[in-house]
Amino acid sequence: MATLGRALLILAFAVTIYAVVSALYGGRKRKPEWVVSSRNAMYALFGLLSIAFLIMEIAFLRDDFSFETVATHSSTTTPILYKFAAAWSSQEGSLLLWAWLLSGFSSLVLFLNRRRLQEITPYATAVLAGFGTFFTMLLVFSNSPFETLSIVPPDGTGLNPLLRHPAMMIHPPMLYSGYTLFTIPFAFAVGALVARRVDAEWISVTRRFTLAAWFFLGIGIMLGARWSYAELGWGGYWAWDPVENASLMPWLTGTAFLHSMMIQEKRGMLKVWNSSLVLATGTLAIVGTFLVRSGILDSIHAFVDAGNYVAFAFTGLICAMTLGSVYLVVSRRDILRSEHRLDSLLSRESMFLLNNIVLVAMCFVVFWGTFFPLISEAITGDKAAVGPPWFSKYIVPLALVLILLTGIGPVIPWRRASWANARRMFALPAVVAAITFVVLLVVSDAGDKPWALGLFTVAAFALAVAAQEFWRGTRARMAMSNEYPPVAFASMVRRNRRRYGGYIIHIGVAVLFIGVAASSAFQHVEDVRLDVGKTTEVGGYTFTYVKPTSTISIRDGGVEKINFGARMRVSKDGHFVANLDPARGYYPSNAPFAFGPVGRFFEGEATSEVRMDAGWTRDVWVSIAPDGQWINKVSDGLDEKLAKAPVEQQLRAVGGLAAFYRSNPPAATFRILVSPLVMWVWIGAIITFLGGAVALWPAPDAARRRARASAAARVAQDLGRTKAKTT
Amino acid sequence: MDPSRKRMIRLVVALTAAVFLASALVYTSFSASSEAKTPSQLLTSAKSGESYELTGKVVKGSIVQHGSTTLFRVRDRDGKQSVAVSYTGAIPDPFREGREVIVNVSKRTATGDTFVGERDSLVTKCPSKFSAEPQST
Amino acid sequence: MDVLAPLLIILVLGAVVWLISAPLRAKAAGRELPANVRDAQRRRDLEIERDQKYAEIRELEMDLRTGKLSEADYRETDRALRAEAVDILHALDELGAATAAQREADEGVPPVSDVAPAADESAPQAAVGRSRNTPDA
Repeated sequence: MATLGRALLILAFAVTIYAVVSALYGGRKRKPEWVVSSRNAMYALFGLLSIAFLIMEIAFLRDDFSFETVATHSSTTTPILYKFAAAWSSQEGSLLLWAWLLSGFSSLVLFLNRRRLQEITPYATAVLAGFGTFFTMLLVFSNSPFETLSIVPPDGTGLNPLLRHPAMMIHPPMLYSGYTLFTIPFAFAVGALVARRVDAEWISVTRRFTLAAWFFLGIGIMLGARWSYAELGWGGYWAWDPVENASLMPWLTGTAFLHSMMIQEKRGMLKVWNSSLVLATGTLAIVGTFLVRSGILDSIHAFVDAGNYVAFAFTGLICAMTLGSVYLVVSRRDILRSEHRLDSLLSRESMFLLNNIVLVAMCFVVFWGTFFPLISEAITGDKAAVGPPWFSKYIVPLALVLILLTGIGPVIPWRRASWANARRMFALPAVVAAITFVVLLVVSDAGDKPWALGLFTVAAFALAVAAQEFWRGTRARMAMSNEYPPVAFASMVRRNRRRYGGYIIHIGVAVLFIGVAASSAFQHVEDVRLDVGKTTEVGGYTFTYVKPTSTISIRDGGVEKINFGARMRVSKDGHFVANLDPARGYYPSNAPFAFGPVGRFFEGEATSEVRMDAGWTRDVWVSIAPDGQWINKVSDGLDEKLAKAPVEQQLRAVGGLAAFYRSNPPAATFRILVSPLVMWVWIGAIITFLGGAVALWPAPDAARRRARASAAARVAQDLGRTKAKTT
Repeated sequence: MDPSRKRMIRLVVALTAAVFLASALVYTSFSASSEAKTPSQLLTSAKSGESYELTGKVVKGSIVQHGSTTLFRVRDRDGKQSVAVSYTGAIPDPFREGREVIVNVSKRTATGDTFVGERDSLVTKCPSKFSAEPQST
Repeated sequence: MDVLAPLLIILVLGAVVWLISAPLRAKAAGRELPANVRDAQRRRDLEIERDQKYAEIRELEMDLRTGKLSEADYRETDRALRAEAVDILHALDELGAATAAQREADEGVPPVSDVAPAADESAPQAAVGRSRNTPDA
């Protein structure tokens, strides 16, 4: 089967090369049959990679350890679902997943638009096939998932326990879906520029893909943040780590593009912006894919060392994309001229332009901070890094302006707004914001953190505007159709999913930032060492180390891990709040002869079992780090005694160690967090993605036709004849 | 004022603001950054009071816990020279001897090779390719 | 397994070659791709533009009803949008007439009349001229 897999990848590589050549030939020579052939080649690519992916997955599910990738990333004791996900936990598996997603989405977009955009499609196909060539080239020549081992091991090394979490299973596919979907508007933008057909048509056909890309990439980012908060022992959800930043950058420019494309569709403006944004987003998506698997930046995620084939190949691709993009935009600047000029600063066009600027500025800040070690090395010779405080210094004010814009943008009409109108529309939200400001200042200590207070005020403004929009829209709809409010609301949203989905997204983002501001600025965190029975106070809550806990998890007759933990009783003002049982799980190292029978448990991986009491107003979060020295001392002692003992005695010794921990517990170090409003970060994210789903949802044909008919009737009057349009 | 002149002014103002902000950003990044140094570099050129980003591998057998402070040594990736780090804060889950770490440190004013680790700045690199085995070297 | 693999590879190879060469074989056999492909594309592009314009008109009305626009602003913008929509509909009409003429020419039937007479263009052209040149300030 591995030979079949290898052959399929080689065939896929050949097919992508054919697709590039035939698409370009058919496009240049205007021979449609070659363009159709190249499209069929992309379909074939999807078929080939699907079979290859299936072979890889079957190998994982069948525990076929003759496959090197299975032997190094899975084991017989790995649960089925994680075996499935282990396929993409490796470099080669993740490359195959990326290529497969690319081929699938490319086939879909080419199929849906097979009768359209016939001047642009050949070049778009060539670009998409070009990406396919790149990734299949890596899969064939550098990182094959179908390498086999001549000596088949009886068991694999297993999946890193840190990854045994549902969020970590879907995090890569979500991110990769986002990245690959962003290559679609990139490819069509390149095609439009090459073919010199930069009207809004290429935007409308790729719009859904762009929105889907934004949607999936955003979900991937939030899953990573949630995993970090709930699974790692530091209690934060965002560290401005290079790899986190790498996924955020294309998302920021993608958000800008999603807004800015509306202006091009409506008024033929900002074409240079749109081309540049979409080309930058596609390039940043490749940069994001690259950063995770290179060692060029010091990061918790730096998996592979730099200087290998993959790093060179990616660097070459990114350079080619950047230079090509700049060349295309500069050489086509004459046809990218706006059809109209910006009429007034108080118009939706200029709000969108400002939105573009803010998002690009945020992206630039993130970019500069992420690549600063390389930049400083190039300039000064020393590698230097900036930390989270530097990022926050710039991102926070920009975020504030952004949220403010989400409040202003929807209300200002196109072309030009009058001050009188604006005053009327903003009166209520401004009052809400002012009241929020005053109340927070008086009732809470928000005044101590001016930026947080500013953000709360602005978010209140944005939320009030969104609520007002929904209210006014529903009222207008009721006036037109005499429906009850809930029906009017639903039909209003249904008739304009993009607009109202967008408003829901704005609500979600405002809520998310409220959560971020509160949990960052007003968090209480303590690292404290406690003996059993001792108490400490954090953030107004009392924490008591009640008793130690220890358990052994058995799986398939063997010990999967040892857990040492504690029971913490949390109370506030004398009232019981919760019992939290944080623990640390120790997985044994799989080299049993290198370490002692007991000690090997503490030489493998360790995971934090974080426990929290999540609430609407605050999260109480605890993690534990048992005394490592005590563990090593006791286990070393046991190992000495058990060196020659039979296996059952060794297992009993492990049980004995666990019991000993309970009876003679050493002091343990606890990390305790009280974070206000953290829950709203996740709720805000969910609202955002619900809004995205609403915006993505296609309107039913009947509604579309009805809507078209009414507008068409009015326009027909101008034509001087009645037109019964039913298409 | 005719529209095109208004537009020119707007453009100039916007560009000036952008250049100004970009310069502020670039300037603060150089002043707020911590140089990345290996242990051998730290030993030769560390100035007391300044913060550095130390990268290297945790020396085997060097992890000692004193209360809520952890002491460990960090050595060059491919070398023998090492420095001692005194670190308070949460120890990341993957942290163990032989692994590569990144930690922000500053030199204690006293002489010697002990550095104080900045709270919560300790990052342990995930072992390559997600395998459960710690990689050798 | 050893015998199966090469067999499957040949099978897959055959399927791929068949799929990729299908349009080329169809062309060689004289089975033409749809005629007037270019016109069909232009028609669809115009239809997209037209639908977008209708959507804009509707949204503008919604803006008026939700109080974002004053009556005067609404009337002016609505007029402009409707004029743009008329242009698109005219272009579609021309395309329809041209396509019909092309088809008749292909079939050897002499055209009934010349398409897109210049005289009819003058009125909407004037409207185009007006709407495009109206100073928005």
